[in-house]
Amino acid sequence: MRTLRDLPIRVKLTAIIALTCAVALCLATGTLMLLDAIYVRRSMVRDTKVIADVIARNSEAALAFGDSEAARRTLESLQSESHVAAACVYDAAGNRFAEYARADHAGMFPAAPAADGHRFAGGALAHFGPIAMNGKRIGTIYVEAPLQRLRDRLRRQFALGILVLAASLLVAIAASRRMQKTITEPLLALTNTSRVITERGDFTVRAARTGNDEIGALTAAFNQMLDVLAERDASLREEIAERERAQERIAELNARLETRVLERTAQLERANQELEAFTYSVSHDLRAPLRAVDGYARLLEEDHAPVLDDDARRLLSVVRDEARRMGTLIDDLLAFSRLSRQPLRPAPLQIGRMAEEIVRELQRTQSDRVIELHAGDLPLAFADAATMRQVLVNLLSNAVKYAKRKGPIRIELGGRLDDGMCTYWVRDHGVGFDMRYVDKIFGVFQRLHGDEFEGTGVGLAIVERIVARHGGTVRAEGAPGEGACFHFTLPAAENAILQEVSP
Amino acid sequence: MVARALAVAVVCITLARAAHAAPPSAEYRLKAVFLFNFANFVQWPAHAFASADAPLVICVLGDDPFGEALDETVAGESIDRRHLAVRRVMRGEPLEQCHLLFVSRSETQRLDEVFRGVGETTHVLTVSDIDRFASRGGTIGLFLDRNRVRFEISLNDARRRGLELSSQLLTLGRIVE
Repeated sequence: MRTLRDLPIRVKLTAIIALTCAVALCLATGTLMLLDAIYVRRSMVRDTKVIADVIARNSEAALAFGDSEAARRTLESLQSESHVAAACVYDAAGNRFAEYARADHAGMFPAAPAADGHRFAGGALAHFGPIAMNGKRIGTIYVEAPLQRLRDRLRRQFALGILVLAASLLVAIAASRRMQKTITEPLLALTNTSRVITERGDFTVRAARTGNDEIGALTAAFNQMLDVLAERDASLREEIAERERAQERIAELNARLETRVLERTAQLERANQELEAFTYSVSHDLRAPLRAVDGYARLLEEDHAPVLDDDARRLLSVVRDEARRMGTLIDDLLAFSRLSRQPLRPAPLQIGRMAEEIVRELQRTQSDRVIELHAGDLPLAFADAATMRQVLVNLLSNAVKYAKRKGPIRIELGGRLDDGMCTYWVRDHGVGFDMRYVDKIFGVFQRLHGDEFEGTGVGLAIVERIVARHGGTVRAEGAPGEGACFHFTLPAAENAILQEVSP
Repeated sequence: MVARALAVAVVCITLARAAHAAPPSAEYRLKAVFLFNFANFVQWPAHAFASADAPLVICVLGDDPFGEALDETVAGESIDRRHLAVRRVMRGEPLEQCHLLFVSRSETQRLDEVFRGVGETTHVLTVSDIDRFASRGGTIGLFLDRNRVRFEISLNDARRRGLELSSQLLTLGRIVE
């Protein structure tokens, strides 16, 4: 059911105009008819009175002289007066003196005269007036006028009024239907234009301006808005085109980058492999002469012991020590080179338990000092057990190695969970190191303590490499004489994402 | 001389008394009303009256047939703000004072003398029920027609006397001459 609001403006305007006209016409017609009715009534009353007065005047003598015949003759002159139905002269005593009635007059004369004046009764206007001679009342005149004529006239007027009203209304509606076009056409044109623009997305279309009224102003504003929109549209399109171009370029660059990355990766892989092969073969090649050196030195020691004096024996022992040391170095290098070739197999890992095992082993080899491991609550890491064992072995054995000369070796192992990554630290209270060289401490063959302590300088490099392969980082801090603390991060077991880690 | 005058006076008074002694009949009561009515429907010229408040005089000449009727009819009435007066006049008395003169039947034989006394052009309206009065020189004559009192008018006589008769009167009455 359409509400009044949804009616088209054309209908609304026509209806408004028609209704206004109808109301005005109704009021006018109604008022006119009312005034006419009042006027007709008044004039009827007046006419009747006039007639009565005239008849009364003319009946004076007849009444005075008692000539009822003459009085009746006078009354009969009313024949020509079409709207008088009956008349009657009463004498001074109130008796009927002379009468007159139209042929079609039905009804009786009043038996006795009523008070002077007019009254409307029984479908007729009745008028009583005095008949006076010389100022003295000698009788009464009664005139009766039927209201039928009045009613007929009123009915006619009413019908005419309705007719005029209907005709005027039709004319008003017809006129308004034409006139409302001046308002609705521009509006419809505007609506149409906006629809066209929406459908076609064409911002160059403009609405035609008709007239300088509010609709004209609306049209002008509409067009202005379209100008702005068209501009924006154009600039937006440009931007989009540019962006697309930029994106294309980026895609292009990305593709090239990827190609390059692939190339480089391949290159690096090849380089790595070559390096590993090289390292492997070199270490093997290096071992051979070492074995020879060590072997011959031993032969000298054992087979030619009698000819060797203490100094010679000392020299031979040094040769052998150095040969052994070189062998260890080569082993370490080999291990280091092998690191990259093995795939990682991460799994949930209890760092603490592994550390305890390692410390027990170390204690076995370190009989003269006590190694104390203080471990707190450690989060579960997601890491490869084999390589992590090496990390912990390196860190813990370093702690033992670089401990102070006397007293128990105290090692603290801690860890916390930070946003999906576990951070662990191994703290010792040994000799520490100078923070000036902290950048070098994880480098290969970087030894900060010279010959005081054993070691090849590869251990921490191995730690760094393995942690990095797990996606973590290492950090070291320390102070001379106050021990060192090594931090490393690993992915947490709860937040582990299975990844293909390239070897 | 004195005896004669006295005798005449006695006779007159007796006659007059005799006339007054009988009560007026219905006919004359009606005729009295007619006289009053005539006075209402006739216009006398202004010079017929001595002054603005001079009365309108109705005279009865001869034997008075009205008795009290005429006096009763005009008592307290006024026409055009003039009072009405009833006078009985004897033969030979001056008649100019009368505006309306009723000539009694008793004067039937002496009409010429009466008219001579009245004068031809005076403003006196003469009324009588003498037979054919209007044709014989009177202004209005009364007659009976089927028991109804009617009247006939001599328009010439009225005009001659400068009297204006209402058209209603003329309609009601019969015009003669």
